[in-house]
Amino acid sequence: MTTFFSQFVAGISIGSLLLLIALGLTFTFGQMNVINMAHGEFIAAGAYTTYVLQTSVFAASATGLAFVVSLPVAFLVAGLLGLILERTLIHRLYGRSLDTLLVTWGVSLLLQQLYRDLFGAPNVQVKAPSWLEGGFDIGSVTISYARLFIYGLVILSLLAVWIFTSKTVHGTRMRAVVQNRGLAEASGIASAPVDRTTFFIGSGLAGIAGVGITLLGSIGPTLGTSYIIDAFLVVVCGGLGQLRGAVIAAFVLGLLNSYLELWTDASLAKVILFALIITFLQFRPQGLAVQKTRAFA
Amino acid sequence: MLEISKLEVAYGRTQVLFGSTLDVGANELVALLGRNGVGKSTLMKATMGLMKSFNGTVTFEGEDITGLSPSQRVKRGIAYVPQGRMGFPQLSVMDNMKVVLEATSHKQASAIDEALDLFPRLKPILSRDAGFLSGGQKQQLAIARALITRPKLILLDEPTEGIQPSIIHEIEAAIAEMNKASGLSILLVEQHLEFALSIGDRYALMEHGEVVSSGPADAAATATVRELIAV
Ligand SMILES: Nc1ncnc2c1ncn2[C@@H]1O[C@H](COP(=O)(O)OP(=O)(O)O)[C@@H](O)[C@H]1O
Ligand SMILES: [Mg+2]
Repeated sequence: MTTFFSQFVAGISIGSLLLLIALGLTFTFGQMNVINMAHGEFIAAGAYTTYVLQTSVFAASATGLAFVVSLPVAFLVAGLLGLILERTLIHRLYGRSLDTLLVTWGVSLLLQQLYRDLFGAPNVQVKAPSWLEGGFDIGSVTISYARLFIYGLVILSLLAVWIFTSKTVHGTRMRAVVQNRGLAEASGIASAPVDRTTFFIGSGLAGIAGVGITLLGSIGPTLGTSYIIDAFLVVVCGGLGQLRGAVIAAFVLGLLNSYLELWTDASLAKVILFALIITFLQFRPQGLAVQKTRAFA
Repeated sequence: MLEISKLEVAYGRTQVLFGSTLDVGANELVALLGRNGVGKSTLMKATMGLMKSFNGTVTFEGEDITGLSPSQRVKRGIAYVPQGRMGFPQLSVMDNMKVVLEATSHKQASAIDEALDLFPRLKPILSRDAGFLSGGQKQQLAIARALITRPKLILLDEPTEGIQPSIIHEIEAAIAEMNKASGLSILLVEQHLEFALSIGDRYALMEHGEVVSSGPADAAATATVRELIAV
Protein backbone atom coordinates (compact mmCIF):
# COMPACT_ATOMS: atom_id res chain seq x y z
CA MET A 1 0.00 0.00 0.00
CA THR A 2 2.78 2.38 0.90
CA THR A 3 4.72 1.68 -2.29
CA PHE A 4 1.50 2.02 -4.23
CA PHE A 5 1.01 5.47 -2.75
CA SER A 6 4.62 6.55 -3.11
CA GLN A 7 4.60 5.47 -6.77
CA PHE A 8 1.37 7.41 -7.18
CA VAL A 9 3.03 10.56 -5.89
CA ALA A 10 6.03 9.91 -8.12
CA GLY A 11 3.71 9.42 -11.10
CA ILE A 12 1.88 12.66 -10.43
CA SER A 13 5.23 14.42 -10.22
CA ILE A 14 6.37 13.01 -13.56
CA GLY A 15 2.98 13.85 -15.03
CA SER A 16 3.01 17.44 -13.86
CA LEU A 17 6.49 17.97 -15.24
CA LEU A 18 5.46 16.39 -18.55
CA LEU A 19 2.43 18.65 -18.66
CA LEU A 20 4.50 21.73 -17.90
CA ILE A 21 6.78 20.89 -20.83
CA ALA A 22 3.96 19.82 -23.14
CA LEU A 23 1.95 22.98 -22.50
CA GLY A 24 4.17 25.02 -24.82
CA LEU A 25 3.92 22.32 -27.45
CA THR A 26 0.11 22.47 -27.40
CA PHE A 27 0.63 25.87 -29.03
CA THR A 28 3.43 25.35 -31.53
CA PHE A 29 2.74 21.70 -32.34
CA GLY A 30 -0.91 21.35 -31.33
CA GLN A 31 -2.24 24.58 -32.78
CA MET A 32 0.22 25.28 -35.57
CA ASN A 33 1.35 21.75 -36.47
CA VAL A 34 4.98 22.79 -36.32
CA ILE A 35 7.37 20.13 -35.06
CA ASN A 36 9.94 22.35 -33.42
CA MET A 37 12.90 20.22 -32.41
CA ALA A 38 14.50 23.26 -30.75
CA HIS A 39 11.69 23.41 -28.17
CA GLY A 40 13.92 21.46 -25.78
CA GLU A 41 16.63 24.11 -26.14
CA PHE A 42 14.06 26.78 -25.29
CA ILE A 43 13.51 24.84 -22.07
CA ALA A 44 17.27 24.93 -21.48
CA ALA A 45 17.19 28.68 -22.23
CA GLY A 46 14.70 29.12 -19.40
CA ALA A 47 16.87 27.08 -17.06
CA TYR A 48 20.02 29.03 -17.97
CA THR A 49 18.11 32.28 -17.50
CA THR A 50 17.57 31.30 -13.88
CA TYR A 51 21.25 30.43 -13.59
CA VAL A 52 22.40 33.73 -15.06
CA LEU A 53 20.08 35.82 -12.92
CA GLN A 54 21.26 33.97 -9.83
CA THR A 55 24.99 34.10 -10.52
CA SER A 56 25.44 37.40 -12.37
CA VAL A 57 22.51 39.72 -11.70
CA PHE A 58 21.24 39.18 -8.19
CA ALA A 59 23.31 39.07 -5.00
CA ALA A 60 24.10 35.66 -3.53
CA SER A 61 21.76 36.42 -0.65
CA ALA A 62 18.83 36.94 -3.00
CA THR A 63 18.52 33.47 -4.60
CA GLY A 64 14.82 33.38 -3.77
CA LEU A 65 14.11 36.70 -5.45
CA ALA A 66 16.28 35.76 -8.43
CA PHE A 67 14.28 32.57 -8.81
CA VAL A 68 10.92 34.34 -8.78
CA VAL A 69 12.10 37.02 -11.21
CA SER A 70 13.47 34.36 -13.52
CA LEU A 71 9.93 33.09 -14.25
CA PRO A 72 8.80 36.10 -16.31
CA VAL A 73 12.30 36.72 -17.68
CA ALA A 74 12.63 33.10 -18.83
CA PHE A 75 9.23 33.40 -20.51
CA LEU A 76 10.46 36.45 -22.42
CA VAL A 77 13.86 34.99 -23.30
CA ALA A 78 12.46 31.70 -24.60
CA GLY A 79 9.53 33.50 -26.22
CA LEU A 80 11.88 35.83 -28.08
CA LEU A 81 14.03 32.91 -29.22
CA GLY A 82 10.85 31.34 -30.57
CA LEU A 83 9.80 34.55 -32.24
CA ILE A 84 13.16 34.90 -33.97
CA LEU A 85 12.99 31.28 -35.12
CA GLU A 86 9.45 31.75 -36.45
CA ARG A 87 10.30 34.97 -38.28
CA THR A 88 13.55 33.79 -39.81
CA LEU A 89 12.86 30.17 -40.67
CA ILE A 90 9.61 28.52 -39.68
CA HIS A 91 7.19 30.94 -41.33
CA ARG A 92 8.72 30.05 -44.69
CA LEU A 93 8.09 26.38 -44.03
CA TYR A 94 4.45 26.21 -42.92
CA GLY A 95 2.85 23.06 -44.28
CA ARG A 96 6.24 21.43 -44.86
CA SER A 97 6.59 19.36 -41.71
CA LEU A 98 9.66 17.39 -42.72
CA ASP A 99 11.62 20.48 -43.71
CA THR A 100 10.61 22.18 -40.48
CA LEU A 101 11.72 19.17 -38.48
CA LEU A 102 15.15 19.08 -40.13
CA VAL A 103 15.72 22.81 -39.92
CA THR A 104 14.72 23.07 -36.27
CA TRP A 105 16.83 20.04 -35.46
CA GLY A 106 19.78 21.97 -36.86
CA VAL A 107 18.82 24.98 -34.76
CA SER A 108 18.61 22.72 -31.74
CA LEU A 109 22.21 21.54 -32.26
CA LEU A 110 23.36 25.12 -32.80
CA LEU A 111 21.76 26.27 -29.57
CA GLN A 112 23.31 23.37 -27.64
CA GLN A 113 26.72 24.44 -28.93
CA LEU A 114 25.97 28.03 -28.01
CA TYR A 115 25.17 26.95 -24.44
CA ARG A 116 28.45 24.99 -24.30
CA ASP A 117 30.35 28.07 -25.41
CA LEU A 118 28.58 30.34 -22.97
CA PHE A 119 28.24 28.17 -19.89
CA GLY A 120 30.67 25.27 -20.48
CA ALA A 121 29.94 21.65 -21.27
CA PRO A 122 29.59 20.39 -17.67
CA ASN A 123 26.32 20.79 -15.87
CA VAL A 124 25.81 23.78 -13.62
CA GLN A 125 23.78 23.97 -10.44
CA VAL A 126 20.97 26.40 -9.78
CA LYS A 127 20.35 27.02 -6.11
CA ALA A 128 16.79 26.47 -5.01
CA PRO A 129 15.36 29.31 -2.88
CA SER A 130 15.67 28.56 0.81
CA TRP A 131 11.87 28.53 1.20
CA LEU A 132 11.71 25.58 -1.17
CA GLU A 133 14.12 23.45 0.86
CA GLY A 134 12.74 20.52 2.77
CA GLY A 135 9.31 19.02 2.50
CA PHE A 136 6.49 17.43 4.39
CA ASP A 137 5.32 13.90 5.04
CA ILE A 138 2.09 12.20 4.13
CA GLY A 139 2.30 8.86 5.88
CA SER A 140 5.67 7.47 4.88
CA VAL A 141 5.94 9.52 1.70
CA THR A 142 7.84 12.79 1.70
CA ILE A 143 6.76 15.47 -0.73
CA SER A 144 9.41 18.12 -1.20
CA TYR A 145 8.42 21.77 -1.38
CA ALA A 146 10.18 21.92 -4.74
CA ARG A 147 7.74 19.32 -6.09
CA LEU A 148 4.88 21.21 -4.58
CA PHE A 149 6.09 24.36 -6.29
CA ILE A 150 6.12 22.54 -9.64
CA TYR A 151 2.53 21.40 -9.06
CA GLY A 152 1.56 25.00 -8.38
CA LEU A 153 3.47 26.21 -11.43
CA VAL A 154 1.64 23.69 -13.62
CA ILE A 155 -1.76 24.69 -12.26
CA LEU A 156 -1.04 28.40 -12.73
CA SER A 157 0.32 27.91 -16.24
CA LEU A 158 -2.71 25.81 -17.19
CA LEU A 159 -5.03 28.45 -15.85
CA ALA A 160 -3.20 31.20 -17.74
CA VAL A 161 -3.27 29.20 -20.97
CA TRP A 162 -6.97 28.46 -20.55
CA ILE A 163 -7.83 32.10 -19.89
CA PHE A 164 -5.71 33.23 -22.82
CA THR A 165 -7.20 30.83 -25.33
CA SER A 166 -10.84 30.96 -24.32
CA LYS A 167 -11.31 34.44 -22.85
CA THR A 168 -9.08 36.89 -24.71
CA VAL A 169 -9.35 38.48 -28.14
CA HIS A 170 -5.95 37.08 -29.09
CA GLY A 171 -6.98 33.61 -28.01
CA THR A 172 -10.19 33.68 -30.01
CA ARG A 173 -8.27 34.97 -33.01
CA MET A 174 -5.75 32.16 -32.62
CA ARG A 175 -8.52 29.56 -32.53
CA ALA A 176 -10.19 31.08 -35.58
CA VAL A 177 -6.93 30.90 -37.55
CA VAL A 178 -6.37 27.30 -36.45
CA GLN A 179 -9.91 26.26 -37.34
CA ASN A 180 -9.89 27.82 -40.79
CA ARG A 181 -6.84 29.76 -41.83
CA GLY A 182 -8.10 30.74 -45.29
CA LEU A 183 -11.46 31.90 -44.00
CA ALA A 184 -9.80 33.89 -41.21
CA GLU A 185 -7.60 35.70 -43.75
CA ALA A 186 -10.58 36.27 -46.03
CA SER A 187 -12.50 37.69 -43.05
CA GLY A 188 -9.85 40.31 -42.44
CA ILE A 189 -7.83 38.51 -39.76
CA ALA A 190 -4.18 38.75 -40.78
CA SER A 191 -2.76 35.37 -39.86
CA ALA A 192 0.95 36.25 -39.70
CA PRO A 193 0.71 38.28 -36.45
CA VAL A 194 -1.47 35.55 -34.96
CA ASP A 195 1.16 32.95 -35.83
CA ARG A 196 3.85 35.09 -34.24
CA THR A 197 1.88 35.46 -31.01
CA THR A 198 1.07 31.76 -30.88
CA PHE A 199 4.70 30.84 -31.40
CA PHE A 200 5.91 33.39 -28.88
CA ILE A 201 3.62 32.06 -26.17
CA GLY A 202 4.34 28.40 -26.90
CA SER A 203 8.08 29.04 -26.75
CA GLY A 204 7.76 31.25 -23.68
CA LEU A 205 6.02 28.40 -21.85
CA ALA A 206 9.08 26.25 -22.56
CA GLY A 207 11.11 28.86 -20.71
CA ILE A 208 8.80 28.60 -17.69
CA ALA A 209 9.19 24.82 -17.74
CA GLY A 210 12.96 25.32 -17.78
CA VAL A 211 12.80 27.36 -14.58
CA GLY A 212 10.77 24.60 -12.93
CA ILE A 213 13.29 21.97 -13.99
CA THR A 214 16.16 23.75 -12.23
CA LEU A 215 14.54 22.62 -8.97
CA LEU A 216 15.06 18.97 -9.86
CA GLY A 217 18.80 18.86 -10.43
CA SER A 218 21.74 20.37 -12.25
CA ILE A 219 21.28 21.75 -15.77
CA GLY A 220 23.32 21.26 -18.93
CA PRO A 221 23.32 22.12 -22.64
CA THR A 222 21.26 19.04 -23.57
CA LEU A 223 18.77 19.44 -20.75
CA GLY A 224 15.81 19.75 -23.09
CA THR A 225 16.46 16.69 -25.23
CA SER A 226 15.71 14.28 -22.41
CA TYR A 227 12.19 15.65 -21.99
CA ILE A 228 11.15 16.65 -25.44
CA ILE A 229 10.12 13.31 -26.96
CA ASP A 230 7.89 12.51 -23.99
CA ALA A 231 6.30 15.92 -24.28
CA PHE A 232 5.54 15.44 -27.98
CA LEU A 233 3.96 12.10 -27.09
CA VAL A 234 1.74 13.81 -24.53
CA VAL A 235 0.45 16.20 -27.18
CA VAL A 236 -0.08 13.43 -29.74
CA CYS A 237 -1.88 11.17 -27.26
CA GLY A 238 -3.97 14.02 -25.93
CA GLY A 239 -5.14 14.95 -29.39
CA LEU A 240 -3.58 17.86 -31.26
CA GLY A 241 -4.56 21.22 -29.84
CA GLN A 242 -6.70 19.70 -27.12
CA LEU A 243 -5.75 21.13 -23.75
CA ARG A 244 -7.90 18.74 -21.75
CA GLY A 245 -6.51 15.77 -23.67
CA ALA A 246 -2.96 16.89 -22.92
CA VAL A 247 -3.70 17.13 -19.20
CA ILE A 248 -5.13 13.61 -19.09
CA ALA A 249 -2.37 12.19 -21.28
CA ALA A 250 0.39 13.74 -19.17
CA PHE A 251 -0.88 12.22 -15.94
CA VAL A 252 -1.75 8.84 -17.46
CA LEU A 253 1.75 8.62 -18.95
CA GLY A 254 3.33 9.82 -15.70
CA LEU A 255 1.48 7.25 -13.60
CA LEU A 256 2.03 4.41 -16.09
CA ASN A 257 5.71 5.24 -16.15
CA SER A 258 5.92 5.25 -12.38
CA TYR A 259 4.03 1.97 -11.86
CA LEU A 260 5.85 0.19 -14.69
CA GLU A 261 9.14 1.15 -13.09
CA LEU A 262 7.96 -0.47 -9.89
CA TRP A 263 7.29 -3.66 -11.73
CA THR A 264 10.36 -3.73 -13.95
CA ASP A 265 13.47 -1.55 -14.46
CA ALA A 266 13.45 1.97 -15.82
CA SER A 267 14.59 1.34 -19.38
CA LEU A 268 12.27 -1.62 -19.90
CA ALA A 269 9.43 0.48 -18.44
CA LYS A 270 10.15 3.03 -21.14
CA VAL A 271 10.02 0.40 -23.87
CA ILE A 272 6.71 -0.95 -22.60
CA LEU A 273 5.33 2.58 -22.37
CA PHE A 274 6.26 3.31 -26.00
CA ALA A 275 4.66 0.05 -27.08
CA LEU A 276 1.47 0.97 -25.21
CA ILE A 277 1.41 4.42 -26.81
CA ILE A 278 1.90 3.03 -30.30
CA THR A 279 -0.90 0.53 -29.73
CA PHE A 280 -3.16 3.27 -28.39
CA LEU A 281 -2.49 5.48 -31.40
CA GLN A 282 -3.27 2.58 -33.74
CA PHE A 283 -6.78 2.55 -32.34
CA ARG A 284 -7.17 6.29 -31.78
CA PRO A 285 -4.92 8.21 -34.13
CA GLN A 286 -6.78 11.40 -33.24
CA GLY A 287 -5.76 11.01 -29.60
CA LEU A 288 -7.83 11.07 -26.43
CA ALA A 289 -9.82 14.19 -26.96
CA VAL A 290 -13.29 13.94 -28.45
CA GLN A 291 -13.33 16.27 -31.41
CA LYS A 292 -16.99 17.17 -31.28
CA THR A 293 -16.64 19.08 -28.06
CA ARG A 294 -15.22 22.55 -27.99
CA ALA A 295 -11.55 22.43 -28.86
CA PHE A 296 -8.82 23.76 -26.63
CA ALA A 297 -10.86 24.41 -23.54
CA MET B 1 -15.46 49.51 -58.76
CA LEU B 2 -13.97 46.03 -59.21
CA GLU B 3 -12.08 45.24 -62.37
CA ILE B 4 -10.68 41.80 -62.95
CA SER B 5 -8.46 41.73 -65.99
CA LYS B 6 -7.06 38.71 -67.85
CA LEU B 7 -6.61 36.67 -64.68
CA GLU B 8 -4.75 33.37 -65.04
CA VAL B 9 -4.74 30.96 -62.12
CA ALA B 10 -3.64 27.36 -61.65
CA TYR B 11 -3.94 24.64 -59.01
CA GLY B 12 -0.44 23.26 -59.09
CA ARG B 13 0.18 22.51 -62.77
CA THR B 14 -3.49 22.51 -63.74
CA GLN B 15 -4.46 25.90 -65.12
CA VAL B 16 -8.06 26.75 -64.32
CA LEU B 17 -8.47 30.41 -65.29
CA PHE B 18 -7.33 31.38 -68.77
CA GLY B 19 -7.51 35.14 -68.74
CA SER B 20 -10.82 35.92 -67.06
CA THR B 21 -12.03 39.48 -67.35
CA LEU B 22 -14.95 40.88 -65.40
CA ASP B 23 -16.04 44.08 -63.75
CA VAL B 24 -18.58 45.06 -61.12
CA GLY B 25 -19.76 48.66 -60.84
CA ALA B 26 -20.85 50.61 -57.77
CA ASN B 27 -24.22 49.44 -56.39
CA GLU B 28 -24.31 46.80 -59.08
CA LEU B 29 -25.26 43.15 -58.71
CA VAL B 30 -23.54 40.93 -61.22
CA ALA B 31 -24.66 37.33 -61.55
CA LEU B 32 -21.72 35.10 -62.43
CA LEU B 33 -23.11 32.11 -64.30
CA GLY B 34 -21.63 28.94 -65.68
CA ARG B 35 -21.63 25.18 -65.35
CA ASN B 36 -19.95 23.35 -62.51
CA GLY B 37 -16.20 23.34 -62.77
CA VAL B 38 -15.76 26.28 -65.16
CA GLY B 39 -13.85 28.28 -62.53
CA LYS B 40 -16.37 30.58 -60.84
CA SER B 41 -15.19 29.77 -57.33
CA THR B 42 -11.58 29.97 -58.42
CA LEU B 43 -12.22 33.43 -59.85
CA MET B 44 -13.64 34.52 -56.50
CA LYS B 45 -10.71 33.03 -54.57
CA ALA B 46 -8.28 34.85 -56.84
CA THR B 47 -10.22 38.09 -56.47
CA MET B 48 -9.93 37.67 -52.72
CA GLY B 49 -6.21 36.88 -52.90
CA LEU B 50 -6.65 33.35 -51.59
CA MET B 51 -5.13 32.08 -54.82
CA LYS B 52 -2.20 33.71 -56.55
CA SER B 53 -2.63 34.64 -60.17
CA PHE B 54 0.41 34.32 -62.39
CA ASN B 55 -1.00 36.77 -64.91
CA GLY B 56 -3.56 39.53 -64.91
CA THR B 57 -4.66 42.15 -62.41
CA VAL B 58 -7.37 42.88 -59.90
CA THR B 59 -8.22 46.55 -59.43
CA PHE B 60 -10.52 47.86 -56.72
CA GLU B 61 -11.65 51.49 -56.66
CA GLY B 62 -8.79 52.40 -58.96
CA GLU B 63 -6.13 50.69 -56.84
CA ASP B 64 -4.20 47.69 -58.13
CA ILE B 65 -4.72 45.13 -55.37
CA THR B 66 -3.25 42.12 -57.20
CA GLY B 67 -0.38 41.81 -54.74
CA LEU B 68 -2.37 42.32 -51.54
CA SER B 69 -3.12 39.60 -48.99
CA PRO B 70 -6.75 38.57 -48.40
CA SER B 71 -6.93 40.44 -45.09
CA GLN B 72 -5.63 43.61 -46.77
CA ARG B 73 -8.35 43.28 -49.40
CA VAL B 74 -10.95 43.00 -46.66
CA LYS B 75 -9.59 46.28 -45.25
CA ARG B 76 -10.12 47.88 -48.68
CA GLY B 77 -13.81 46.92 -48.54
CA ILE B 78 -14.20 43.52 -50.16
CA ALA B 79 -15.98 40.72 -48.31
CA TYR B 80 -16.24 37.09 -49.31
CA VAL B 81 -18.70 34.33 -48.50
CA PRO B 82 -17.10 31.14 -49.78
CA GLN B 83 -18.97 28.20 -51.20
CA GLY B 84 -19.84 25.51 -48.65
CA ARG B 85 -21.12 27.47 -45.64
CA MET B 86 -17.75 27.78 -43.98
CA GLY B 87 -17.23 29.07 -40.49
CA PHE B 88 -15.17 28.63 -37.36
CA PRO B 89 -16.95 25.50 -36.11
CA GLN B 90 -15.61 25.51 -32.57
CA LEU B 91 -16.33 29.15 -31.87
CA SER B 92 -19.78 30.25 -30.74
CA VAL B 93 -21.99 32.14 -33.18
CA MET B 94 -21.22 35.33 -31.27
CA ASP B 95 -17.46 34.69 -31.24
CA ASN B 96 -17.60 33.98 -34.97
CA MET B 97 -18.84 37.53 -35.41
CA LYS B 98 -16.76 39.16 -32.69
CA VAL B 99 -13.48 37.76 -33.95
CA VAL B 100 -14.22 39.35 -37.31
CA LEU B 101 -15.36 42.63 -35.79
CA GLU B 102 -12.19 42.96 -33.73
CA ALA B 103 -10.08 42.64 -36.85
CA THR B 104 -11.88 45.50 -38.63
CA SER B 105 -10.67 49.07 -38.46
CA HIS B 106 -14.11 50.48 -37.59
CA LYS B 107 -14.73 48.14 -34.59
CA GLN B 108 -18.35 49.32 -34.29
CA ALA B 109 -20.38 46.77 -32.34
CA SER B 110 -23.48 48.08 -34.12
CA ALA B 111 -22.26 46.15 -37.17
CA ILE B 112 -23.14 42.93 -35.33
CA ASP B 113 -26.60 44.25 -34.40
CA GLU B 114 -27.30 45.22 -37.99
CA ALA B 115 -26.22 41.81 -39.25
CA LEU B 116 -28.48 40.17 -36.66
CA ASP B 117 -31.40 42.34 -37.74
CA LEU B 118 -30.93 41.00 -41.25
CA PHE B 119 -30.74 37.42 -39.93
CA PRO B 120 -32.91 37.30 -36.78
CA ARG B 121 -32.75 33.49 -36.77
CA LEU B 122 -29.25 33.82 -35.32
CA LYS B 123 -30.37 35.81 -32.30
CA PRO B 124 -31.54 32.91 -30.09
CA ILE B 125 -28.45 30.78 -30.83
CA LEU B 126 -25.62 33.22 -30.19
CA SER B 127 -23.88 31.01 -27.65
CA ARG B 128 -24.08 27.81 -29.68
CA ASP B 129 -20.95 26.51 -31.40
CA ALA B 130 -21.13 27.28 -35.12
CA GLY B 131 -20.34 23.65 -35.96
CA PHE B 132 -23.72 22.60 -34.56
CA LEU B 133 -25.85 24.91 -36.71
CA SER B 134 -28.10 23.79 -39.55
CA GLY B 135 -26.97 24.49 -43.10
CA GLY B 136 -29.23 27.52 -43.41
CA GLN B 137 -28.06 28.97 -40.12
CA LYS B 138 -24.42 28.42 -41.08
CA GLN B 139 -24.96 30.27 -44.33
CA GLN B 140 -26.71 33.15 -42.60
CA LEU B 141 -23.84 33.34 -40.14
CA ALA B 142 -21.37 33.34 -43.02
CA ILE B 143 -23.10 36.29 -44.68
CA ALA B 144 -23.43 38.06 -41.32
CA ARG B 145 -19.69 37.69 -40.75
CA ALA B 146 -18.98 39.20 -44.14
CA LEU B 147 -21.31 42.17 -43.50
CA ILE B 148 -19.65 42.95 -40.16
CA THR B 149 -16.56 44.16 -42.02
CA ARG B 150 -18.84 46.85 -43.55
CA PRO B 151 -17.81 46.01 -47.10
CA LYS B 152 -18.43 47.97 -50.27
CA LEU B 153 -18.40 44.84 -52.38
CA ILE B 154 -19.37 41.35 -51.39
CA LEU B 155 -18.55 38.12 -53.22
CA LEU B 156 -21.24 35.48 -52.66
CA ASP B 157 -20.41 31.98 -53.85
CA GLU B 158 -23.57 29.84 -54.18
CA PRO B 159 -25.22 31.12 -51.01
CA THR B 160 -28.35 28.97 -51.40
CA GLU B 161 -26.65 25.73 -52.42
CA GLY B 162 -27.99 22.77 -50.42
CA ILE B 163 -30.19 24.86 -48.15
CA GLN B 164 -33.78 24.08 -47.19
CA PRO B 165 -36.31 26.05 -49.33
CA SER B 166 -37.83 28.03 -46.47
CA ILE B 167 -34.47 29.56 -45.62
CA ILE B 168 -33.50 30.08 -49.25
CA HIS B 169 -36.19 32.77 -49.42
CA GLU B 170 -34.77 34.53 -46.39
CA ILE B 171 -31.30 34.50 -47.85
CA GLU B 172 -32.56 35.78 -51.18
CA ALA B 173 -34.46 38.55 -49.45
CA ALA B 174 -31.32 39.48 -47.51
CA ILE B 175 -29.27 39.62 -50.71
CA ALA B 176 -31.87 41.89 -52.29
CA GLU B 177 -31.88 44.12 -49.24
CA MET B 178 -28.08 44.33 -49.12
CA ASN B 179 -27.97 45.41 -52.74
CA LYS B 180 -31.13 47.49 -53.16
CA ALA B 181 -31.48 49.08 -49.72
CA SER B 182 -27.84 49.28 -48.58
CA GLY B 183 -26.31 49.88 -51.99
CA LEU B 184 -23.73 47.13 -51.66
CA SER B 185 -22.07 45.90 -54.84
CA ILE B 186 -22.45 42.16 -55.19
CA LEU B 187 -20.82 39.50 -57.32
CA LEU B 188 -23.12 36.51 -57.03
CA VAL B 189 -22.59 32.94 -58.14
CA GLU B 190 -25.98 31.26 -58.09
CA GLN B 191 -27.31 28.10 -59.70
CA HIS B 192 -30.89 29.23 -59.17
CA LEU B 193 -31.13 31.06 -62.47
CA GLU B 194 -34.56 32.69 -62.10
CA PHE B 195 -33.49 34.37 -58.88
CA ALA B 196 -30.03 35.38 -60.12
CA LEU B 197 -31.39 37.00 -63.24
CA SER B 198 -34.35 38.64 -61.55
CA ILE B 199 -32.18 40.34 -58.96
CA GLY B 200 -29.07 40.86 -61.08
CA ASP B 201 -28.33 44.03 -63.02
CA ARG B 202 -25.95 42.21 -65.28
CA TYR B 203 -24.83 38.69 -65.93
CA ALA B 204 -21.43 37.31 -66.83
CA LEU B 205 -21.15 33.84 -68.28
CA MET B 206 -18.07 31.71 -67.73
CA GLU B 207 -16.91 28.77 -69.73
CA HIS B 208 -13.66 26.90 -69.26
CA GLY B 209 -11.87 29.56 -67.24
CA GLU B 210 -12.99 32.55 -69.27
CA VAL B 211 -15.87 34.99 -69.19
CA VAL B 212 -17.37 34.38 -72.63
CA SER B 213 -20.27 36.77 -72.58
CA SER B 214 -21.84 39.40 -70.41
CA GLY B 215 -24.60 41.93 -70.59
CA PRO B 216 -27.80 43.15 -68.98
CA ALA B 217 -29.48 40.46 -66.90
CA ASP B 218 -32.61 40.33 -69.02
CA ALA B 219 -30.52 39.50 -72.08
CA ALA B 220 -29.34 36.35 -70.31
CA ALA B 221 -32.86 34.98 -70.38
CA THR B 222 -32.38 34.13 -74.04
CA ALA B 223 -32.28 30.55 -75.13
CA THR B 224 -28.58 30.53 -76.07
CA VAL B 225 -27.37 31.64 -72.67
CA ARG B 226 -29.76 29.26 -70.95
CA GLU B 227 -28.44 26.43 -73.02
CA LEU B 228 -24.87 27.27 -72.09
CA ILE B 229 -25.74 27.27 -68.42
CA ALA B 230 -27.87 24.14 -68.35
CA VAL B 231 -26.08 21.40 -66.45
N1 LIG C 1 -8.37 22.63 -54.69
C1 LIG C 1 -8.34 22.27 -55.99
N2 LIG C 1 -7.30 21.56 -56.48
C2 LIG C 1 -7.25 21.21 -57.76
N3 LIG C 1 -8.19 21.50 -58.67
C3 LIG C 1 -9.26 22.21 -58.25
C4 LIG C 1 -9.39 22.63 -56.88
N4 LIG C 1 -10.54 23.30 -56.75
C5 LIG C 1 -11.12 23.31 -57.97
N5 LIG C 1 -10.35 22.66 -58.87
C6 LIG C 1 -10.64 22.49 -60.29
O1 LIG C 1 -10.70 23.76 -60.89
C7 LIG C 1 -11.75 23.83 -61.80
C8 LIG C 1 -12.65 24.99 -61.45
O2 LIG C 1 -13.24 24.77 -60.19
P1 LIG C 1 -14.18 25.82 -59.49
O3 LIG C 1 -13.56 27.16 -59.55
O4 LIG C 1 -14.53 25.30 -58.15
O5 LIG C 1 -15.45 25.77 -60.45
P2 LIG C 1 -16.93 26.28 -60.20
O6 LIG C 1 -16.96 27.08 -58.95
O7 LIG C 1 -17.26 27.07 -61.41
O8 LIG C 1 -17.79 25.05 -60.09
C9 LIG C 1 -12.47 22.49 -61.76
O9 LIG C 1 -12.02 21.72 -62.84
C10 LIG C 1 -12.01 21.87 -60.48
O10 LIG C 1 -11.93 20.48 -60.61
MG1 LIG D 1 -17.99 26.75 -57.18
